[in-house]
Amino acid sequence: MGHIVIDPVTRIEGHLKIEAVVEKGIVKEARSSGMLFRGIETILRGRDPRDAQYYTQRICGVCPTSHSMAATLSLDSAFGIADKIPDNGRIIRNLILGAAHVSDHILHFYHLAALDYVDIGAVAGYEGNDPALLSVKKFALEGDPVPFLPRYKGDYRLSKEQNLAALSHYLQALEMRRKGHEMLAIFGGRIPHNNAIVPGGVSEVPTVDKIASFLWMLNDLRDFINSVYIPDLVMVAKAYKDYCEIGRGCGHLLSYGNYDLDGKVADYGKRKRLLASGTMDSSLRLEPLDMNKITEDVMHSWYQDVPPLQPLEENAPQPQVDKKGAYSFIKSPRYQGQVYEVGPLARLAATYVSGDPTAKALVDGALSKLKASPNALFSVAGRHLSRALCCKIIADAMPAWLLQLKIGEPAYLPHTIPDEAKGVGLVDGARGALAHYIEIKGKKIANYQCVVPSTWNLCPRDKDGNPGPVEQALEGTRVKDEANPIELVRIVRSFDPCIACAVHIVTPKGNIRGKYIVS
Amino acid sequence: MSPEIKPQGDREKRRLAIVGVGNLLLQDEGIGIHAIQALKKGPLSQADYVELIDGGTALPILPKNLDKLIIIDAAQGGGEPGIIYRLSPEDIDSGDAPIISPHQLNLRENLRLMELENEKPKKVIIFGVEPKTIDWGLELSPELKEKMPQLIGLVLQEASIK
Repeated sequence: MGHIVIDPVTRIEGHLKIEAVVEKGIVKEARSSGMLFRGIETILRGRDPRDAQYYTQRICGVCPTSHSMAATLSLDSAFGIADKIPDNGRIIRNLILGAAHVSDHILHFYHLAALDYVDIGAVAGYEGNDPALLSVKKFALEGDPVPFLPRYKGDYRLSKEQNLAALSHYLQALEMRRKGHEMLAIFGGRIPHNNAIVPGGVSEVPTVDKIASFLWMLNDLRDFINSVYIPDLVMVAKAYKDYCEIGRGCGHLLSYGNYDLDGKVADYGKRKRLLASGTMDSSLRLEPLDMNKITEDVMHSWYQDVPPLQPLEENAPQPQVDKKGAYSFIKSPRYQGQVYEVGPLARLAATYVSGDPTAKALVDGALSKLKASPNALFSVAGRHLSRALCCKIIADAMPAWLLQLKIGEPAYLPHTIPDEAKGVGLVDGARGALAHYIEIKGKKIANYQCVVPSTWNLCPRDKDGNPGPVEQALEGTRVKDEANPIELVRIVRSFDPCIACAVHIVTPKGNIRGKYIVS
Repeated sequence: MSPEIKPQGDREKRRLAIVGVGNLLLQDEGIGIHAIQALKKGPLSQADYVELIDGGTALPILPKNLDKLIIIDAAQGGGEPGIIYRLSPEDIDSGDAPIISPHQLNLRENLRLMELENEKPKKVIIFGVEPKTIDWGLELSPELKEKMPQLIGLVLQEASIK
């Protein structure tokens, strides 16, 4: 019996760790452990409610824009203005979030996932003139593995030409990521932590210049998505057809949806959004969200036992690291007591099942290219494909939104802070369902809770012993070589894990005392 | 538009960028952000050749082809809390873990990616400060607070050297 540990951030304690027990080449049991940012509640209590947008963005270095949206939506709802945000404000928020998600999805595929499938070794023998490939070749031969290596040895299956094409796209994707960030800054004011998304709307106003520059860069991104990103994904999925079956997961999906198309409904769960909200079981029947069904379980988390509670009923959890059977700082969110996966697969499936013609055409088209059934979406390849199609749907929707902006009209609604109120903000971040809960007393934050996508996907077992979505996706997987568990890394990466809290310390090599100290 | 992100044309003229990185919510881990906030109140905020960047918990996309990039971050070098190290990118341990999350696309990875695009700054200097407390909270520990004027002095001195 083998025991595989994938500890991706050994240099920083407390981040995500995946352990798998392998018997006769099959994963018998998988455990996902991580650290959670429960400290955020303590920091926010007693502060001005409007600080929530500013501070919660800094929970996470990867999804600050999604946190700023969720926080602001929770404030709009607590302030009683969720259904009164001017259209300009709603649309500019969509554009800021859209720029963030489009570049985030491209970053994930090319810079985090692709090299599991694309062999960088292919550049070694490259003799052509493409400057991008020559740059990658020089880089790869220099011997400094950052950021490409070390990886587990892949079973690389693409032809030399396919590998080379994908590697040159790796560089193009960097340029696209830059464009996405610049688009975000046009309306977001600054990156990575935008200051435009505020309760009442946005603090930026639309101008012809901003609209034109945004559209200019968006066109390049759309070209890239259509002619590079999606074709590359289909190419990889065809070569790795078995990954349309590997890593199926729990089969339950939950989406809050994102990109409000109409701001006149106060309940975010009932809003018409570009990517739809709802829950689904494996029969793919879409049910409307009922936020009262969400509870958090701490049976296998390092916290003192309490029964499963709704987020705003929870007090700050009491850590208990010697708790028997516990193995993670992550709590286990459950919907109706059941395990649910969140992310692009969930929101694309919800949109598809809701009957949206664009989503239907895209998904059916991609599946027919792969000669696969809709079931294949519940897989490693299916998650990557869903991410790419969500990326396309958002990028294709943005030009029309830009034209809906009304120059000279307000983007912000003045408002007052109530003495006492509760609010919840729901939005799908790039990685899935994100909820911020706020309770205000005496015009100050009395309680604040975030239930984040990676908590849903990376959570440990619950009181009934049901493993979390990533754990379920790993269990039952065949591992060809225990010393080189590429299958497991590919499964974990397909969820685009955003491990909480962004500790960001540099660790100098070796013993540096004396030599480098300047003060 | 805030002064921080200028349109491309202006941004290209800036030859020096100073970036503070870190998590403001984790006490001493946020030293880089505290330092940038302090620098924004000083003389550099008026200089047109320098861009001061609050990098937050992700290293943002940086201006291309800078003459110099100065980074301020927490650094665990094993010394006493508050000790300031002056490092170059080669001195930073990239760890030997597989990259699995975008959180790991940190300093070193981002600089390497710029190198890959042939856009890296001519010179990169990292000021690392040994943290004392990394836990939830907005305040720096007294040891680091005390060192802030020295840190700012070192950064200003570095910024004035061609």
